[in-house]
Amino acid sequence: MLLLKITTDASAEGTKIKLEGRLVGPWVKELESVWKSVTKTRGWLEVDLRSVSTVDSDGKELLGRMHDGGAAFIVEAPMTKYIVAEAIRGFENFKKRGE
Amino acid sequence: MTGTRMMERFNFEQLFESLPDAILLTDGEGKILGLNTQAERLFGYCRDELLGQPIELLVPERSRTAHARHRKSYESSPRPRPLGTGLELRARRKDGSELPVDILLSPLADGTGHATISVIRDVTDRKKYEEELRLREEQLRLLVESIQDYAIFMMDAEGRIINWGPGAEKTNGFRAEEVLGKHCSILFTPEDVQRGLPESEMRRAAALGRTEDEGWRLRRDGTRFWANVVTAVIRDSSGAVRYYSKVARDFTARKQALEALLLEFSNVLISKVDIHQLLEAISSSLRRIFPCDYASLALLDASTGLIYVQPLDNPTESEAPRNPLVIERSGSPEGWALTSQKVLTLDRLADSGFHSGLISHLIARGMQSACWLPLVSRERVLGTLNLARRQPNAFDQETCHLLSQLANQIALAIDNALAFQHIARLRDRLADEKMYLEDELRTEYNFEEIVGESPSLRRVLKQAETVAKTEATVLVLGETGTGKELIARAIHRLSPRKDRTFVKVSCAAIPAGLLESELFGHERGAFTGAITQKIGRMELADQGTLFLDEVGDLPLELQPKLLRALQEKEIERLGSTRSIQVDVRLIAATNRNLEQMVKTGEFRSDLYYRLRVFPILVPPLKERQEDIPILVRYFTQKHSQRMNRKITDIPPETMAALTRWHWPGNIRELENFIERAVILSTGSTLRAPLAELQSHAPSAPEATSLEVAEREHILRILRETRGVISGPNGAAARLGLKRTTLNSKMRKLGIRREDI
Repeated sequence: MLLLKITTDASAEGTKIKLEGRLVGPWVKELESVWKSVTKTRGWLEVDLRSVSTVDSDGKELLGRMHDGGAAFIVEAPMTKYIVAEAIRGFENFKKRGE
Repeated sequence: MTGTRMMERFNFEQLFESLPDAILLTDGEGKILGLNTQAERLFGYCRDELLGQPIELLVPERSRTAHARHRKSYESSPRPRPLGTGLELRARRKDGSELPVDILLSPLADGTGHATISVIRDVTDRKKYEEELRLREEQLRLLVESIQDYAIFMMDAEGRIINWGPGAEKTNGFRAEEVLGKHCSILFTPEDVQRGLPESEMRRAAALGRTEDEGWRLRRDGTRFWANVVTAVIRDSSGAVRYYSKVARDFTARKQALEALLLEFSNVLISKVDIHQLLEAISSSLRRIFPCDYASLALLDASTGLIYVQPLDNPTESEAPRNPLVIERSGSPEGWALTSQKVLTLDRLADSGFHSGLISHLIARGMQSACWLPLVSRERVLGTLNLARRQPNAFDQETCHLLSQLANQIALAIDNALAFQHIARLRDRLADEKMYLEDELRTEYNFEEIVGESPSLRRVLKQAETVAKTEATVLVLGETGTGKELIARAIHRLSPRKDRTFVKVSCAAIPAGLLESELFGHERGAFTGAITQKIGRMELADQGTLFLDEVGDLPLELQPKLLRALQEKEIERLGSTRSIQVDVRLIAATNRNLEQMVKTGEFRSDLYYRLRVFPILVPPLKERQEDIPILVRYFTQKHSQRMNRKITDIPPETMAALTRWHWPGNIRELENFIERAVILSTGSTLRAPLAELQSHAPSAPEATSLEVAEREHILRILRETRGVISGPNGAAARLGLKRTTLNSKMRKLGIRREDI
């Protein structure tokens, strides 16, 4: 499977982004542009990662930034939980180094 | 001899009166002896006034001396002949007026003397016509000679030049004396002469009456010029060709300008291989060369016979439709131009007689005339270029000629773009197929993976072999780990499709939201994340086999789409309206009870019946225990080779324990267990962790309903009795049931003969 399907469900209170497939390569930029467009709207942001099968290093970095930007993740599989935790920790370390 | 006597003697009076010409009878001295009524009327004298008078009375005074001389000359040697051949003869009336005449003299002799008959014809009208004709010829000559930019000349029926105007001299450089009487081939290039072009041009003109051609012609100095030549035929009253008239113009400058334009046009178009970019380039370039109020391209879909009309940017239309208009071939001007491969011009659209959607569209937008130019490339008609103007009669012959050349360039560019698109599609498909096959290679499946000799396995293999040769859809059923995929692959390899791709889709492994795209493909931009076009697995499996594993996990909302694709043998990629024909042989597999799922509404019955055309039940390992030792040895060898081990011994007690075990995970569980055993073995003897088996109490049957368990049990017994129900060894006896009771239970549990 080579692609990532991104489904956005926006309401007055917030936005839910559902990801299905692989968060790798060019799809990371695709998600980033979707994320940037929804952050212009007000409200909460929830990212459903339950149907994500793979995340590469760029994807992890983006997830870290999204988390830092206030996004909440819905995860189920232990591996995905682990990747998300790594992504958050990695971005926090990056920020600390920057400071 | 008197005149009366002569007339009586020859009895000519009545004959003379009946003739339309004036007739005079004179003697050797030129005295008038007789005349007819027409002579009285012509000269204005009465008979008596002329009888006995010299004939010179009827000749103008200035010509009387010459006339007398001519008469004497005639009398010296009388014979029938015209008087004054080559002279403009004139006669004189009584009132002194003159008239032009032709005179024919004939002698009459009887041995005693002779007389002369003069037949005099008034040629006033003829002379008048001749004069008019002369004047006209003079006008025409002056007109022709005043035209300096046209080479106008004539040839006889054999092609010899008989007339050469100053325009011809100026255009071709030959003086009249250099070409008159010579064959017209001196004006052609040697190559054209060798090809017989001068003769073929005359033949064509003779057949059609008039032809117009363009080609290279020679000047006197040997240089060439591009000539536009109109040849017309002049025939005599019998219809035979007498002359050819030629009007030739030097179009060299025009040709060079047109070629420069076409080259620029061609360069712009040929660099565009993307069909959308090409349409934009055609639109902008075309409008610079030919201003029109409407332009569109009609492309023929050869598979459906439908024509898709794609409007090019039309500046005068504020709401130009971007989506193609779909029209039928028959009855439409596009269809006419496609079929005939000829240019179609309609000078007044409203009276055209065509009633296609495009005509109505054009009329509604104020277009009055239009032109359809066939786009032909490599002898293949691709579509038409459609142009329209707001004024009537906007497309004359010359305009159509120019547009035809543009259409040729457009056709070539479209053909290239379509070929590129086709190649790109094949390349993408090959890339996808390559990637898929690389994945497939990693799975290392082959026939040898099917291991065992048990009757139940042999039955399955026999069924697979039987159904493989057909195109029937196969539903492979069986518990998890029983090798359903191996059976599916075996069917493909035994089928006529064995040389094409076997494409697997695991419905359970792909997120539900992606499965549709995975199966049917998508166009770029079909949804967020669809950053490129993707070919679906069904399209990838075209001409091959599609294996839908875990079909029981196919989302309910996707099932009708799959059913439709299977029945209609065509799909549409997500985000596309174009149908793609696919020829796919389907094999589905599941470990779930689809029949039960149909009852509970989790699986559509129509799809279920479409799938279970030929069900194959792969038995669980516990029903083929005799195969377990073979499988143990096979997996031991496979994994020890892979790990560079040499394991030759499998202890009998190990084999016995493995054979006894009920293997709920079937062959997959057995293989994993053996792989673990090979890892744990350090010597040549397989050290299987049998404690693992003992530590797990024989697991209870999988959670299932009583009804399902009863169904499975009855089915197993039926299989063992090979479907025999009654009799001492029949299934009813073995189950301790009456035959009628078993039949009733089978009906209730939905067990059919083909399930056995």
